Amino acid sequence: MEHTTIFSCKNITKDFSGMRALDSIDMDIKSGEIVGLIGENGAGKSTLLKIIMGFQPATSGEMYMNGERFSPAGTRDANYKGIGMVYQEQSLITNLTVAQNIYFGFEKKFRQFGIGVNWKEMNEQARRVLAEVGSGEIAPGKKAGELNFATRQMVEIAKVLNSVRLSNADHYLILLDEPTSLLNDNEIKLLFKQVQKLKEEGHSIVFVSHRLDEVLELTDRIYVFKDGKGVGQVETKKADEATLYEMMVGRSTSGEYFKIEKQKEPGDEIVLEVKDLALKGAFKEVSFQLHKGEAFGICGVVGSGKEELCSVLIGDDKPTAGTIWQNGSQRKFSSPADALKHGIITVPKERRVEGIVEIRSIGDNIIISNLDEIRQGCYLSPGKIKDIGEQWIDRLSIKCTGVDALVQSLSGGNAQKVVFARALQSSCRILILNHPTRGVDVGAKEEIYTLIREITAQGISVIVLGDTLDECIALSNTVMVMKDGFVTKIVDAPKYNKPDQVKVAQFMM
Amino acid sequence: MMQLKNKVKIKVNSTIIGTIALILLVGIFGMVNSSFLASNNIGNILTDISPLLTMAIGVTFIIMIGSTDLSIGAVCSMSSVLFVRYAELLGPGAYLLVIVFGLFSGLIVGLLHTQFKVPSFIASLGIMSVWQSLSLVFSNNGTIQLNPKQWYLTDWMGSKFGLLPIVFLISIIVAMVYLFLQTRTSFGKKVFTIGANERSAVMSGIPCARTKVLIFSLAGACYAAAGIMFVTKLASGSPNLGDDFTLLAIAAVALGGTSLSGGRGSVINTLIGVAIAMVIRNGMTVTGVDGFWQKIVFGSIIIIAAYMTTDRSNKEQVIK
Amino acid sequence: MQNSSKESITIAEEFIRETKKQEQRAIIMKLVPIVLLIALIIIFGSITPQFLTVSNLYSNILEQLSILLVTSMGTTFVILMGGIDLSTEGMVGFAGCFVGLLVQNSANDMNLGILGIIITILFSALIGAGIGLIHTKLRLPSFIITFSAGYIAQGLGVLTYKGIPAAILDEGIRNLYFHKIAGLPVLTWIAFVVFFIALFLEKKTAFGRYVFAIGDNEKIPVMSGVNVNKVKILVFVWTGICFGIAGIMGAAKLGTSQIYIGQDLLFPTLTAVVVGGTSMSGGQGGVVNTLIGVLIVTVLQNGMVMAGVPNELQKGVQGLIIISVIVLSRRRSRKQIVK
Repeated sequence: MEHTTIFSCKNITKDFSGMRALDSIDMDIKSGEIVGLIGENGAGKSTLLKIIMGFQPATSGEMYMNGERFSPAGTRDANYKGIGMVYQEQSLITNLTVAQNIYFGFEKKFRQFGIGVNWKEMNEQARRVLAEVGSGEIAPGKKAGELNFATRQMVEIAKVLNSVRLSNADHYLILLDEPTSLLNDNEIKLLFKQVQKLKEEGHSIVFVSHRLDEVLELTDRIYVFKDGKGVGQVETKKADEATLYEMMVGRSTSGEYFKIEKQKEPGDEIVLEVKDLALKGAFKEVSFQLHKGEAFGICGVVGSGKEELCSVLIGDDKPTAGTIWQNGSQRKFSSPADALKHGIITVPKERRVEGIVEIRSIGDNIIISNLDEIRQGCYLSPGKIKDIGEQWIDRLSIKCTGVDALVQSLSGGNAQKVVFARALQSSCRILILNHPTRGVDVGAKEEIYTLIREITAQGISVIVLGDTLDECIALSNTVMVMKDGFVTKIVDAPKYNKPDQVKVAQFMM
Repeated sequence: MMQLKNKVKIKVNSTIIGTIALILLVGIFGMVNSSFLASNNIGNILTDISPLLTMAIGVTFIIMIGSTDLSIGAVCSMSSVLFVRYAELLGPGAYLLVIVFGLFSGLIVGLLHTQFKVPSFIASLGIMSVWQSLSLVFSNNGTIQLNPKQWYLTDWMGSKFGLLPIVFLISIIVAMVYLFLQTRTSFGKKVFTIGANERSAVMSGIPCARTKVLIFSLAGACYAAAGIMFVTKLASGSPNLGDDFTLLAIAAVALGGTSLSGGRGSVINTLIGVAIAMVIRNGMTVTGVDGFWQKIVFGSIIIIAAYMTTDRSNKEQVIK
Repeated sequence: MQNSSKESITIAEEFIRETKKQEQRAIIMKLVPIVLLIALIIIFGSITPQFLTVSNLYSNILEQLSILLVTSMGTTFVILMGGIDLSTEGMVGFAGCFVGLLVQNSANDMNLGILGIIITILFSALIGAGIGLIHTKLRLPSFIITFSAGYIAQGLGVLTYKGIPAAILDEGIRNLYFHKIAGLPVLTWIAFVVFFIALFLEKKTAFGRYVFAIGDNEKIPVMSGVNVNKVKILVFVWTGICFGIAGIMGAAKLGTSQIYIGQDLLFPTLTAVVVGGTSMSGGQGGVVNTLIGVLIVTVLQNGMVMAGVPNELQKGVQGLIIISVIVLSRRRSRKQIVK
C-alpha cells in the first residue's frame, strides 16, 4: 500500500505560565501506521494529545492533517479533520444506552416527530458500527453503566470511529491514551486485533502507553518524549526495552544539581512502619520502614499506587487492610488533622488546588498548621504571625513584597516555599513531599533540594515522590518502586552508589 | 503586581462604597420624608435593627465558609414561640432553653452537613421545615402573647442605656465577639481558610468538620437570641415572625461585600450591610412603598451581590 | 504479557466490583419508591378504613395531586441536571395572579380567555429563560438564583393585584376545576397531559439525553460539542412553563388570583422528586420516578389528614423525608467538597 503522510506537526511548543511542557516537537504519521508514544509522567505525551484534539492551543508551531494546516478549537473541529481520541478516563454517560453514547451529539441524524429521536433506527446503525469494530454482539440498547470496562472500551472506539466519519477523510487518525490499563489478556488481544484492522484499512493510530512490551508488540514506530522534548524515534523492529528505557529516563543531570554531596545517612530509629497496607482499587501488600532522618523515595508511573499510598499515610484515605505503626503504637488516621497531631504532614501535589490558599496572605498560610502552638489561650497575636512569617521569608529566601502579600502574587517556586514553610512550622517529624519541585523554576528547585538535605539532617524523615526518576533516586537514601499497586523493589541509594536509572525503571513499567 | 494592587483596591473599596451608599441612602430617604430622620425614629431603627443584626452576624461565618443557611427565620420564630410558651414555667430559664435550642438546631445542620455530606442549603431547608411545623404546633397555630407577669424577663432589654436601647447594645456585643473571633483567634483563621480553599484547609491539618459544626451551632444561637429580641419588642411570639428575615439576613451579608463563595469578608462588612438593608427597609415603609417591593428589591440585591462577589476565575469549574 | 500476573488485578477487580454495586443500587432505587408507596397505602388503609375507598383513592387523591404533578415535572429536569429549583412558590403564585388579570375578572375589563392563558404560560417561560440566562451567563449556582427569583416573583405577583385579589369570572377557566371527565376534574387530565409531554421530552428527545449527560458528568457533553448552556436555559424554560400551567390550575381551583396560590408547594415538589428516586447529584431518575414520588407525597398528605395528624406537621414531615432520602442515598466520595 502507498503510505502517505497524513499527520504532521512541526515545532509544537506549549508553555504554561513560565513552564515549558512541550519544546519544539516534530512528528510525522503515515497512513496505515501504528505509532507508539512513550515517556515518563510529565514528559508531555498528554499535553500533545490535548493539543491535537483541540483542548488547548499550542503556544507555537503548526499541525497538518491530510495535507491541510489546522488548529482545532475543540474536539469537534478535530473530528471534522478525521482525528479522534479514546480517553484514559472514560467518556461514556452511564445512564445512556450504548447507541445513545455512540451517537451523542449526533441525534439530528435520526429526527422523528420534529424534536423526537428514532431510537430504533439509531440502534440499527449502532449495531452496524459495533460490528465494524468486531463488537457486533454488544446490545445497542443496553445502558453504558451496566457494561464492564473492556466492553465500554469497545463502545468508545465505535464512538470515536463514528465521530471521525464526519470528516469524510480517507484516512483517520485515532489516538489511544493508555487503553490497556484495565484489560485482561484476552481483552488486550481483541483490542490489538481491532487496531490492526484499522491499520489494514489505511488508518493510523497513536498508541500511548507505559507498557513497553505492548508497545513493542503492536507498533511500527515509537516516539520517545522526555522532559517535554522529543528525544528520538525508533523503528519498533530495531528496538528493545533496554534502549527504550535509556531514551526515556536516561539523564546526565549532575549530582551537584541535586546536592547529593549533602546527603546524610539516616539514623537507626524506625519512625514509621507500614505492614501489608492496602487500599482497595489502588495498592496492596505494601510494607516498608522509615528511619529517622531518612529520605525515602517512592517511584512508579501513573496507576502504580504511589499517590494513593501517600493519601493513606497522611490520613486523607482510610486503608482497607494492613497497619501503620509509629513508635510502637498502631495508628489509624481519621483525617489529615489527625495525622498532623502525630507529626505527619504533606506538601501536596496540586499546589494551587490543595497546597496553598491563594487569596490569603503569606503569613496566614504559614501558620495555619501550627495554630494550637502559636496562640496564647484563645488569643492569636497578629504580631506573632508577622514575626513567624518574616522568619520564614528570610530563611527560605521567599521573594515577595512582605508577610501580608497574598500568595497568589508569588511565582510557583516561591509559593512552594510557602508550603514548605507551613509544613516545617508545624513541627512535623515526618514530611511527605508529593512532587515537591513541580512547576518550580530551576533556581528554586536547587534551593528546595538544599532544603530537603537540611531537613533530613535535622532528623525529620521525608517521603519523596519525585517529578522524575533521577530526581527521586538522587534525593533518597532508599528507593521503593511500585507498579500496578504492588511494591516491585526496594533498593538502597547511598550517596556514593546511586542505582542506575535504567535498572530502576525496569521495575516501574 | 498590578493584579495584586487591583485586588487590594477592591477590598478597601467595598467597605468605603458600602459606607458611602449608606450615607447616600439615609440622605435620600431623609429628603423624601423628613420624619425619617426624627430622633425617635432613629431609636426605633436601632431597636428594629438588633434582631436582624444578630442573625446576620451569625450567618456571616457560614457564608464565609461558602455555605448557606436557610433556617434563619424558622429558628428565630421557633425561639420566640418557645420563649413565650415556657416563660411562666421556667422564668429566666427560658433564656437557657431558647439558646440551647438554637445551638441544637445549628448542631444538627452542621452534623448533617459534615457527617453525611448533605449540602448546607438542603440540610438547613429541611430543618427549617421541621421547626416551622413544630412552631405552629407549639403556638397553637397563632401568635401567643407573653403574660404581663413575665414581662420582667424582657423589659430590661427594652430599656435604654443612655441613648441606646439595650437590645442594640447586646447585638453590638455579639458583633464584637464575632469580630474578635474573626481577627484574633485561631478559630477565625480556620474559618477564612476553609472558605478560601477547603481542600487546602484539609491538607493543612485543619479539623474542618469540627470547625464547621461549631460555626453552624453558634449561628443557631444567634438566631435564637434574635427571636428573644423580637419578644422584647412585641411581647409575643409567633410562628412566622422570622419568615422574611432569612432573605434579609443573607441579603444584608451580601450587601456588605462578603463574598457568597466564601473566603473573603468580615463582620464589619455585615454591619454595614445590615445598616443599608435596614435603611432601605425602613425608608420604604416610611415613604409609603408597599411591602411586596421589599421582596423584589432584596431578591434582586442577592443576585447582584452574588454576581459581583463570586469568584469566577476558575473557568473550568462546573456550576450546578 | 504482564496482565496475567497479579499486578493489575487490584485495580481491575475493584472496577468490576464497583460496576456490580452500581447495578444493584440502580435496581434498589427503582423498587424502593414503589414498595414505599404500597406500604403507605397499607398502613393508612389499616389506620383509617375510609382511606381505602374508591372515592378517596380515585377522586380525592388523583384530584389532589394534579398541581403537584405539574410542578414536579418541571423540577425533575432541574434536579436531573444536578441543580435545584427553590422558586416554585413564587413562580406558581405569580402565574396565578397574572392570569387573573388577563381573563375575565372583577378587577379590570380584560377578557382574553385562552389567549390570556397562553400569554401567562409564555411569560412564565420567559422568566424561566431569564433564570436560566443568569445561571449560565453570570455563573451563579442554581439555588441562589432560584431562591432569589422566587422572592422576586412573589413580589411581582402581589404587585399585580396590590392587596385586593381579583375574582376570576371566566367560566371556561373555572370549569377546568368544576367540570369533570370520568369523575376527575379537567385539571387532573391536564396534569396527566403534562406528564406525558415530560415523558416524551425525557425519553424521546436528544434534549432529554443531554439533561442526563449534564447531570452525570458535565465535562463530557461539553467536550462532545453539545451546547450545554442552551440545554440548561431550556430546562428552566420548561420549568417556567410547568409553573405557569400550575399557577393557572391553582387560580382555576381557588377562583381568585392571589399569591396564596403558590403557597406550600415547594416542599411537596422537592419531596416528590427526591423520594421518587431522582438523585440530587444529577444524572439518575426521571419523570416516571417522580410520578411515583408524587403519589407517595399525596398519599402521605391525604393519609395524614384522614388519620387526624395536625396539618401543621405536613411540612416538617416532608422536610425529614427529604433529608432522610439524601442521607441514605448518598454516593458522594469521601473526599468530595460539599458546601
